[in-house]
Amino acid sequence: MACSNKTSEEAAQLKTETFKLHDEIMPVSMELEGFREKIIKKSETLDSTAKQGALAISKELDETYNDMETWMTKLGDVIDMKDSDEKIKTLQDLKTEGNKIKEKTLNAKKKAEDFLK
Amino acid sequence: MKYFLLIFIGLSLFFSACQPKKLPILGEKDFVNGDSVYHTIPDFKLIDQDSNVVTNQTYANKIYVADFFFTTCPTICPIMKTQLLRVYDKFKENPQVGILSHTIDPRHDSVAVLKAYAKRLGVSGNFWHFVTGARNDIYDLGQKSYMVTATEDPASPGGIMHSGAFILIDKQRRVRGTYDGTKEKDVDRLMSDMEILLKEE
Repeated sequence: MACSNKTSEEAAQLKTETFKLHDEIMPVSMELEGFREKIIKKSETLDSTAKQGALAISKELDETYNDMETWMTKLGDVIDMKDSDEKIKTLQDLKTEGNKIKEKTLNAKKKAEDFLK
Repeated sequence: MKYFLLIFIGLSLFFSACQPKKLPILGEKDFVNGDSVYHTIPDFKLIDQDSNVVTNQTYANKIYVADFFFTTCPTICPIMKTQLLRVYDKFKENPQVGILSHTIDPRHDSVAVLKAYAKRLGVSGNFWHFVTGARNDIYDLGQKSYMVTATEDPASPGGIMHSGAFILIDKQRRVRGTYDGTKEKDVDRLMSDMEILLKEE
């Protein structure tokens, strides 16, 4: 019983932490598509070298956006799982992955902002 | 004289209590030729989970609840959808009521994805439309039309578009109430307000 309580507490704690990560990444992630549209529009007025740069940033924004989509789907699936060691392990992995996506999202946004200056 | 006054006050209170409650009309109000003109939801054209075109005409002579969500959202959207299912279960047989759920992730939430999502929720028929469209159109509609009384909450992930709000619209396309779709009590209030709105002429 004590063991099961510990598992539930740990799962609840990890849920809170991953949801917090979601709440930090989400507002930025929602902006990426808008940035991508602006970058593509701006690139139409640039020479081919600058266009290549724009394309690279656009691709990075796209990848980052997709990473977040995949991460959220996995997070939604694991939340529905019954509390177990497997759930805890999956949530721990998702926390690690979420931190990487957060960094990647912020970097992609920064690159987009710099390009659009 | 004192008794007459007491009877008068008592009768006034009695009749005012008998008056049906009226919901406020939200948003900016203009005066045109001496008449009040209220904020209304503008024309829109979106596509639902069955590939049908959904416009204002879809909701002609109906009151409806609008919300903004996305299918991969693991946090507030599942709670919002559980709450909206309560509204669906209560009003689904009423032809004067509808639900309109807009995806804020149209890039991912295609018609097929929305169809699968509706199926997973156990939603069928024409009562509840899950719609997609051009991202900018949906965001404009949300930010400028539906969320007229919402203020940006810096703590809310995704801002007002991802705040979990349910918006109640009347038959004249006017906003009559906003509710926190993640709170059961707020959704109780929404359902009670819908009953009030249905009784309006």
